[in-house]
Amino acid sequence: MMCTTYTQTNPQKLSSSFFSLPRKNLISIRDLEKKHILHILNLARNFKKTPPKPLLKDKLMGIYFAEPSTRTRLSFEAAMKRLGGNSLGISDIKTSSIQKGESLQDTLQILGEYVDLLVVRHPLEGSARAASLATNIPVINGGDGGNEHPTQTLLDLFSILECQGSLESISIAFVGDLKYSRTVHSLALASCFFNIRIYFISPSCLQMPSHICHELKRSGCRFSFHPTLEEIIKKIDILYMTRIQKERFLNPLEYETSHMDFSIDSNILSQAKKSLKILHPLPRLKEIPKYLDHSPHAYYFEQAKNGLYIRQALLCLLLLTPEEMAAHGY
Amino acid sequence: MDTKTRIVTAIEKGTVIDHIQAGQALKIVKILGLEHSKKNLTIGLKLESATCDTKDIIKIHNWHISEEDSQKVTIFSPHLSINVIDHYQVLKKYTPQLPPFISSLIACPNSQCISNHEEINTYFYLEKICKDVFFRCKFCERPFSHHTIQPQNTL
Repeated sequence: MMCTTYTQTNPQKLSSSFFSLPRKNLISIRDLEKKHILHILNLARNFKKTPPKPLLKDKLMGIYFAEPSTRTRLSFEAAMKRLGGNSLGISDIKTSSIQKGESLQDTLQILGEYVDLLVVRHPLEGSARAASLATNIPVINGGDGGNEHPTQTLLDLFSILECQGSLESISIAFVGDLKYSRTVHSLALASCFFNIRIYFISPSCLQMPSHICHELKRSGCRFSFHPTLEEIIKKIDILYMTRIQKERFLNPLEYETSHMDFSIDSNILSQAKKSLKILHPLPRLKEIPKYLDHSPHAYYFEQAKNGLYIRQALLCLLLLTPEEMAAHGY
Repeated sequence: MDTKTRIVTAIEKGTVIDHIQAGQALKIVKILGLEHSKKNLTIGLKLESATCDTKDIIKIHNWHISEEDSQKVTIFSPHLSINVIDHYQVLKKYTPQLPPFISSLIACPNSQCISNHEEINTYFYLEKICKDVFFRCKFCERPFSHHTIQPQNTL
């Protein structure tokens, strides 16, 4: 009999009054409960259906990106500007005082004096949590090393809900680099809320980290490991592809020797459910060939677009009170 | 003739930390700040034990462990026992409770954790899963067993 006794003392867990208080952070998907996730998705759906008014006029968002980014940074900036606000910040640390040896916390404490909210991306794990301790303004984790990417998880869930009609009891296959892919870690953890069946397919050296698997098991999540996609393609509703992240390998030899060919093609897709959708956090390399972009299964560009609405929802929920939101009809 | 001998001799007065998980005693000595102190210590490593395969043991002469320190040592060996000794007799024996969180005492074993690169107080939450104990880093969110954690170098 599996022992499921589990106790945790975690004062960072948000209370049910998360949305009644501005100045809270989004650092980890673990900080959210199911009702918070559904609330965010619902607001994002409203924003996608009807573009919101300039709810964040006169608000300023600070960006600190110490790692390359296209979608996350640009969608946050677009989200803020389309809500009437503005943004400033650092997207190239070579131009900042980090080069003079200034600590991350000092940099963000100063930046936090100029803006109303911070979005932080950094290669070290836990950096967003450290950022939240350096400032009193809300901090959003835009990706901390190989740890988490909670806003990506929210837009992934939004996309799945949109294309499948429900999040409950669907099946997802995660394919590729599961070891270093923070988007996969976050989404797998969030899947536990919705009784999602998970299939992992990856090179042996890039498997899902054991500490994530243990947490999935403790949460009662059903998951299994498979050597090939062909084995489970007929069972799944969502195919979540990932890029092998060369930049995360501490040992370059490990990257060169890992088996890279976990790509898809039309032959594999011919065996899939008609309703199957392909997601990818992008950028993609060879794992999804370009000719599949026009396949009815391809959903990754719509997925990227949904980042705008999710980030608009998060910015509003962190910068406005429920009363202010209600005054605008939300 | 009684031919039995103790591998680690009894102490007249002080504290005996017994049933320490084998291999963990030196971490406990470090976290108690005893490695550079003038206190008399007797340490036994990988001794045979009736209750577990092997154990470590530490005897500190003329010193009584505080409640705060007794919680610290359980981090490295959750099932150890503390014995208060006087006149060669055990006055009190107990297993301290694990603290719900640990701040600043231990380093994060994850080299990619921000706490190993910035001047930040480490912080770990206790997680109990069946009989196993894990400490989850507040920053990188990874859980670590008491086997893998080390005292911080500042101690």
